[in-house]
Amino acid sequence: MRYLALPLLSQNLTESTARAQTLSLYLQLSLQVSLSQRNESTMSSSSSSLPSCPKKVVTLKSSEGETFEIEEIAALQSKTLENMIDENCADTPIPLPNIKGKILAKVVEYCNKHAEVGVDAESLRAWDAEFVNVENTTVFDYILAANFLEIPTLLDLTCQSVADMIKGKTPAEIEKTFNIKSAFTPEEEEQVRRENQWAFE
Amino acid sequence: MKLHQSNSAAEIIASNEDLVSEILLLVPAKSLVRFKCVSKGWLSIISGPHFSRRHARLHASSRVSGVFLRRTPSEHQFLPLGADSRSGCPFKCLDFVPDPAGLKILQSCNGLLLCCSFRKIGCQRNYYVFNPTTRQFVMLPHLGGASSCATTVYGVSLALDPSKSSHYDVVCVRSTVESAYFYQIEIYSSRDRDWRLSGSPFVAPFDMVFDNGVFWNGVVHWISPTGASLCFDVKKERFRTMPRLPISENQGSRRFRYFGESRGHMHFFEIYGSRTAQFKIFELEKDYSGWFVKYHVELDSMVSAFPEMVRDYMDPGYMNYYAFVMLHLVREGSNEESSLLVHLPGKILTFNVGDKTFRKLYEIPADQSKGYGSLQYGWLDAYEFIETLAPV
Repeated sequence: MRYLALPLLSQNLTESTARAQTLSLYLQLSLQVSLSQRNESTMSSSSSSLPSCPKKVVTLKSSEGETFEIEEIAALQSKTLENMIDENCADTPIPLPNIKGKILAKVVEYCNKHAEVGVDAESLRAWDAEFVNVENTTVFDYILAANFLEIPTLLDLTCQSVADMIKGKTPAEIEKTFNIKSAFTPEEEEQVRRENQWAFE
Repeated sequence: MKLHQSNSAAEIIASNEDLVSEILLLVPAKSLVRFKCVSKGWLSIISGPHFSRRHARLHASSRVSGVFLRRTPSEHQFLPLGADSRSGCPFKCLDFVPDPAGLKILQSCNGLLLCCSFRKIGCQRNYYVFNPTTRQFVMLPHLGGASSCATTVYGVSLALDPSKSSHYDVVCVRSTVESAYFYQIEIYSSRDRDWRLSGSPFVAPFDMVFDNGVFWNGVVHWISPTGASLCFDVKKERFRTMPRLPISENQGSRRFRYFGESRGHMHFFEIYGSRTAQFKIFELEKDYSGWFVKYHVELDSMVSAFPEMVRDYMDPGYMNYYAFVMLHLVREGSNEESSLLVHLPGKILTFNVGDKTFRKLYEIPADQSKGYGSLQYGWLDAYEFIETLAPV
């Protein structure tokens, strides 16, 4: 609490001087009051991370209707979500009808992890390696989710994982993995194989 | 966007060309060559110029998979390097195009080979740029138009740096019409698909040789037997200098000299004296400030292990008393992965410059041997094979 230094009122003040002094006193007092009011309001909002509004959380809805919450900062890693958040004034859950709940939960986990501050590169790499250390079918689901949500880091991570998995396979194994119909005639396939025989040895 | 329950995620990915490309970009070149058989769609993606350029740039620092040894001008022996020693040989004969004069390799540059046909009377020499990984090739247009009959080509060099661009240049040093003392540079660009003159005629040291130019750091380097050098910056199209070669003046007669490049490093070394199995390998600083000693090589333990390296039937003072020749210095990321290919009578060894161990890489079949104690390959007979999809 600050104390105002009150000027001594001497008895021989003229009326105008007394009036001027009273006015100055009044102004100083009201200034003090409004200052202390401002201090109170600043102190109450300094506990939140953003200066003017509380932490924002976005709700995502999976194909089965399950909802997942994710902090806006983490969600901004997805270009798709960034666009939807910009347009989404009403804060309703964002529907993602082509992503299953099981996958969406993991994608949220990925975004949260990658939005954390102070994680060193080495341990993040190790975390990423564990993240893609799952069944192939799950990695494929991650790719589709990362592609739709436009999360470049997750797309790179999952594509690299698939690339490493397929690089040693034969063409027949690839066709089986992706259920691809070759469309080559046997003669055409034989010709391509013969031209590139050295890569099969 | 409703998901059809019958389509698995794998099928959806496979039907999305962009996603397939993103995945295939991360797969090594040799695997992609196999995957051309998967489907017409995959063949089309992998062979597409846009994809192959992106892939070549992304994989610019691929390892050296092997070395081609020139047995006869058009027959080559492939020596796989590295752990994958079952590696298939990309080609035995240079028969990617039926040139009636036969073909030989002039230079290997970051995965592409510069080849030319042999001199045949009445025909002009043809130059080709060949990618042994994809078997694509292009025949370069003939030089110089009207004056081509009077032109002598002194040397041709391929300049490709996939980390900077998937386009390449071919630098040709040829004679000029005006004077026998002047040379002229002509450059072929894979972007324009044609030759153009570069700069004005220039003179060079009297003994300069322009074949076996070494492309490194964006510059083609030529050296002469007396140690003079000439360097041409391909992008800037002008000459620059290189620090004096670290030739020692007082070490007796020179038995062997090596000047070559591998994976972004330029090396030079010489071996003097008839009984030397120790020498220093120099590397040029990237900023051309000078040569520094990169490796001290001592092959005495190799000489003990392989007595055929010593031609003891000869006078010890005879220059070729020690029968070995350095074929190529392969540099990889670390010293432990870098090796010197050493050719002794009947064998090729690889000497690991990191841990100084050596092992046999290749045994030359008896029917190819040219006699006891003889050496059939020289350092100009070895060409690196690096897998790349770089388009020609």
